[in-house]
Amino acid sequence: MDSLPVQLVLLVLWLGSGAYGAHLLIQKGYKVGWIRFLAFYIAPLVAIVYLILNQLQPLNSPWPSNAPGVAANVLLVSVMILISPAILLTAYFVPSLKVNDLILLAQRRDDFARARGWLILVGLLIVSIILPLIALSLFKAAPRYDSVLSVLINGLLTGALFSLIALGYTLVYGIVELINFAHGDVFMFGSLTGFAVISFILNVKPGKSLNTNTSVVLVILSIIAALILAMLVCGTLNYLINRIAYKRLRNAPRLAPLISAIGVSFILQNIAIYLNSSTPKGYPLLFPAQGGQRNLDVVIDVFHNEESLFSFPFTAFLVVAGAGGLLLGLRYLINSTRTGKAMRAVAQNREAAALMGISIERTISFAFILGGALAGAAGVIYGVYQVQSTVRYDLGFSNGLFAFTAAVLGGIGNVNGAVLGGMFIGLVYSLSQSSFFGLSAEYLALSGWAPVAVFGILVLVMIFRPTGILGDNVQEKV
Amino acid sequence: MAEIKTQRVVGSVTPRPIRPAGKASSERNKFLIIAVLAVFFLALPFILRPLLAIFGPTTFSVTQSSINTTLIFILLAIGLNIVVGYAGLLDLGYAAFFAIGAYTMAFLTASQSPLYNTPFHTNFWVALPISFAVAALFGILLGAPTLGLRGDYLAIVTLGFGEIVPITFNNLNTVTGGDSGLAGMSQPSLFGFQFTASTLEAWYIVTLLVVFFSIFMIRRLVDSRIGRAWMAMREDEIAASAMGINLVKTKLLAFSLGASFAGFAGAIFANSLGSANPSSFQFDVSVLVLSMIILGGMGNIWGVIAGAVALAMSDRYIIPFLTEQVRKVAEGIPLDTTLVNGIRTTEPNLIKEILTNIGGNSRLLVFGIVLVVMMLWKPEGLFPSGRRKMELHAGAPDDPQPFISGSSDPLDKADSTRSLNYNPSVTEETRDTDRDRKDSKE
Amino acid sequence: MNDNLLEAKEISKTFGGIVAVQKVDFTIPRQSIISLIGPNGAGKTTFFNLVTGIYTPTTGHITFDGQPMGELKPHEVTNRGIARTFQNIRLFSNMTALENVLVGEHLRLSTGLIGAVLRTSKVKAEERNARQKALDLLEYVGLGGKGDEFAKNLPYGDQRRLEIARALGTEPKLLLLDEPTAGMNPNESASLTRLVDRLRRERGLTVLLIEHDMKVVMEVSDRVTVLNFGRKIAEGLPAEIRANAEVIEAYLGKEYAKTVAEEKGKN
Repeated sequence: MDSLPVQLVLLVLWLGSGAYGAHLLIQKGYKVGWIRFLAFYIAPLVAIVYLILNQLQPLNSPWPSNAPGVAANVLLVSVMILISPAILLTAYFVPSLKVNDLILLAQRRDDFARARGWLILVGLLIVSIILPLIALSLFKAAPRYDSVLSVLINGLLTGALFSLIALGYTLVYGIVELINFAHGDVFMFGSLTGFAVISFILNVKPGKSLNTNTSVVLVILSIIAALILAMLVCGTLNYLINRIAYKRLRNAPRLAPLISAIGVSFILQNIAIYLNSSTPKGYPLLFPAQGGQRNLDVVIDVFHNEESLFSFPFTAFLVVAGAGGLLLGLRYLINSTRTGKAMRAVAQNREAAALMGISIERTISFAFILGGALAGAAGVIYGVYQVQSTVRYDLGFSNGLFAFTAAVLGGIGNVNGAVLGGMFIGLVYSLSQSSFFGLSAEYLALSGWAPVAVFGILVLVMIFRPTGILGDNVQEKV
Repeated sequence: MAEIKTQRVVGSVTPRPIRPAGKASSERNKFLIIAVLAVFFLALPFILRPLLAIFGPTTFSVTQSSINTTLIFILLAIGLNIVVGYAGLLDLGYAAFFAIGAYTMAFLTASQSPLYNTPFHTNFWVALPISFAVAALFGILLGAPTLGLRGDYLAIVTLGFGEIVPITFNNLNTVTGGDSGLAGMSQPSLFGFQFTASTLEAWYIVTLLVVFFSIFMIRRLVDSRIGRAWMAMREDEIAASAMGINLVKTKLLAFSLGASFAGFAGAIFANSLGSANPSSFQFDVSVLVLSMIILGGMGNIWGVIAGAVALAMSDRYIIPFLTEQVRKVAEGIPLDTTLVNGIRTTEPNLIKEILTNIGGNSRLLVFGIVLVVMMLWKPEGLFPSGRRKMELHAGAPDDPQPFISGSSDPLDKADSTRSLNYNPSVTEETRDTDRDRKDSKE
Repeated sequence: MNDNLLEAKEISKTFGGIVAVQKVDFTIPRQSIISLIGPNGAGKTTFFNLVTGIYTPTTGHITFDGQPMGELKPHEVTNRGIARTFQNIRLFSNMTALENVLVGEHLRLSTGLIGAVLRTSKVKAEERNARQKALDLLEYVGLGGKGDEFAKNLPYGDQRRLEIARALGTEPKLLLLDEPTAGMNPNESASLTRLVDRLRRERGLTVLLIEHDMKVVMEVSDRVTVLNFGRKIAEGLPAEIRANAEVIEAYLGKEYAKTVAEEKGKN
């Protein structure tokens, strides 16, 4: 690529001005005047046009050369062309509003306003997904659509798991302002419990594969049983942690419970070693291949091209169903039940809530139980989804930190923020493990840059916007 | 240990009196005790060698190497104590600076280092101060962006750094040798005496001298204008800055000084082993060092040293001894075997398995219990400084507790997300909108 | 040299839509005691925070000792010679009284890292002088002999005095006292009033006082400025302020002000 320097300059211009625009948008809620608008968005416009032209060049090389493949490529490029006015439009409309206002707008009863709010939010989301992709294409030949798709889907699914864990951090932080450092380890216990339950029901010995004549119904039943038991175990575990390690420290300086939490985390890890030994164990492949075709997997074979065979594993549906169901349930619980109202009240003002007759300690306990249950469910889903992945005592450490990053990114204490942040971190995680950056297979085998990317985000968010994306949105705070 | 006790009585239980001029004799006594102890510790390996030779040929080297490790941990604990104990900034990524010191040493002296055939390749004595300086520099670099953050957020960001640094060392395998690290360091020689990985006494003395110097330095610093500034900052940042203390400078000084101790420790550690690899600098090292200062008592250097000795030694002796016993018990449990269809299979025995696991690894449990138990029952540590004791027991009257939100003082509210206007990234206008809601009462 | 130690020209401070201080002109002559009064939420503390660099004015500028203040950070403001106390006491409660004052002197000492470690004779001398000065200051505010008490163990009135001593440690030209007699009994506030007066007479300090206790204000001030809703509504000698209808209205409401005016008319 001989035009790389030019592209890089443009990219920097584009991202820089975009970032400035985002800064204006998020931090100030400024109405950006025409001159500013031109100054900040003309440069990106030029950059986009250039990039699109550049995109058209390698049309044939990395793509399937059959007609549908070319069509797909053209489609992608035209989407990119369509996206650029979308960027400009959102850039124009959005700066007059704060993101928080947008969310409020999206939640208003007025249909028109709601539609507009969602439209802009979705636009922003698309822009934020497409932007890195285009940026990536600079560094390597355009990635194949199916690999992009699988990375994105995998990112969102992982993100859903992170969201479930992040909710535990956020629920607890919203109410007691405590970073429950042991939360990741509760998740790990959920995964262990699930492993034990599934292995027991399906009678699979560790390291062995599933009996071929096991019925699918039994497998699904075992997953459900594992979910329920893991939620019970982890809810109880988190409740006990709160009772033993944090309750006495309610009025201590805030570092005391944090240090105590680190201690609990270490204790839990060691207990996991006792129960499960320090060698990793993998969940059995629950929907094994049968005769070439994977059982129950959905194969998207769009282009009748062997290379473009993109399979959508059945377990992904489980993630969507499980995580989605839990998130909706949580939403209902927080918004519409007595306990949920009590939680919101305590989160907003402890003393006032206590004066209104809400039992503070009971609400705190409930938040811990709820967070623990969600983490337990996440643990089981993680094990089932990431089959090849291994369940070990230190599973919770890095995953817990990723989820914590998600919670902080979304605005700790904010339920919607945790979900949003989880999705974002999932995407980042999955992207940084993809080959898009032109990293060699050797590097990817280490799979070590994903934590660097995520922790980098954590550090940046903490430094520049410790309240997170939705952090100031008091209304949804729990 | 005797030293520790006398210091505790003299130093910290009662508020320090203004030292009148006429106490020369007690000063002289103190100096004498310190001198005797110093000589004793310096001579220790030479006393130990013949003593331990009685118990077996390897007893001495095992003991001495764990004593050396303990000294390294003492150095780390002293350094972290500056940041956490004196300046009140919880740093969970302290192992990162340990790693930076070790890798700086490795880059400059190892034969596998990319700098090997360049003029930058040098010997231990030159590399040691450079490691110190590089770690201090990184202390500033990593500390600077976190200046505006409140306690628990700061902890998490430093934790992030602490994860990023070893991962980066691990991943940049063309430069750092990946997970096998850099080996083949040229080890120092002094007056014709060649250090090697087996000259444990020599390493002991070098490390001990650094520890002595560190103790001396810290004690003087704490009892000076700088130590008072750290303490004031820990107590109340806003009041401290209103009294003319430059928070940025004071915090960065604490960070870089703390980091430089870790750099020293890392450099000596790496060179004495002859190699540096990323697995020695994981999160559990940060937590181990934190447990040491919490066990001993934050802010009190003798307590911290005692904590370091206790935990490093128990990590080396007591825990292995106990787990060994459990393992023996586990081994003694017979396994049931059954004969099914002519194939002999062993029934898994859960208790035996768990006991084996307990015998295998129980370090984390011990550190975890130390942290939790200390926080719940004795947050000031076993050898507290009088000051910290009062601070850590809940309910200081004017301490703005996180939960109390009804205060009308705008300064308290500024506390709630970040500490004052010391974040260079926040411009004036954005700060205004941030404060918009907070100050609507004003 | 200007006669005014501090001049604030048309300073305003807005927080989003809320105007906390609006176009306030304010001058403090050298060696005077000026009181700033006003009902709760009038913008007094915001004004303090503007002067001490915790906030930067939205518009207008402040000149101190002939030099513009610009956007100084709190410790730089202190370095220029402005020291303050806090409305709700912010002592370093786990340090002794003496150490609190020594922290105040931090800025005027020069021992650096290396000096502190080597402890040269110069450093020793500096430390000795600093301690002596701190003891003198404690003595001056009436805390003689209490230097070794932890700040949090001192009685409330003494804590207020200690805050003043600590502020004096920074060698200020202008001392800002934020409600120094809040929560004190009449005896204590009378003696604190005397202390404030002595600060000016004996040490040549200029004092800006936020105070609710009118007895203190009237007794000690050279001039009184009244803020209400961020605006300056009156300025003048204590006696003038006492009689100012607008001030009475601000404090006591329109109805009462009317009654007072009527009563005056009758008399």
